[in-house]
Amino acid sequence: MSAVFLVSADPIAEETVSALVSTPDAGGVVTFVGRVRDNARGRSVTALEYEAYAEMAESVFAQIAAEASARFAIKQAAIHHRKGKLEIGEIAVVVAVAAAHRGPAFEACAYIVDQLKTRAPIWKKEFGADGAVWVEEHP
Amino acid sequence: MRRISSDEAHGFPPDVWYMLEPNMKVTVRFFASHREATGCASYEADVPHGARAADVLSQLCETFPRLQPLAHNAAFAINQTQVAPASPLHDGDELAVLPPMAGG
Repeated sequence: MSAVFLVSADPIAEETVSALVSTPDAGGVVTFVGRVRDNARGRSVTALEYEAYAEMAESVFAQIAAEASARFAIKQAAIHHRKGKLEIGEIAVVVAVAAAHRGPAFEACAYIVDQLKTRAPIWKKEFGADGAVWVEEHP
Repeated sequence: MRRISSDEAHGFPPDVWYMLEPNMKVTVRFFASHREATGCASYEADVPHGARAADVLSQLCETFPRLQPLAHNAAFAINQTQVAPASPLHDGDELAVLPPMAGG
């Protein structure tokens, strides 16, 4: 069974992450899947490269999930994020949240995704027709 | 050599710190644009006793001039916990210099 909070060089499967949180008492499981898009800020993107301070990122994931548990009535959250070079359409991040009911699961999932963009030590380089740039903003 | 407190040392410019106290070893981690600018992912820095995270970055900008234009919006983590720029370092610490994050 893979770790609940993980930075991975290997491809991420949505079902793997949602299985980590699915328990018999959880009636609502919300899964967010972030994929590599072919454009950003009006320019075309051909690939992304993620770099991570993995050991810190995994502890930040755990901290954000603990905050989500304190704010919303959820049972369990799992966060997996890729590192390395990804092609268009590949999964960059999966956040799965389980709760007894759907409301807290949706809210907690949105909270976790918003927080990890600015607090997890992960960086992305966009490759396009006119070269490669490190992204320094949070759309 | 006269020993002074780290607070007192703070009033001196970095280039005279070496005269004040024996140095500490800090392992500095660079990522993304900073890693490319410095050409290294990890660097063993000799820093003065009492040095703070932001002081070490200033010192590193002299060692790695290409880091200078990227330094203004860096954040810091000591031993994997994000800290304020004025946080003091201790011998053997790992200091991560963090460019603006962009996960997800």
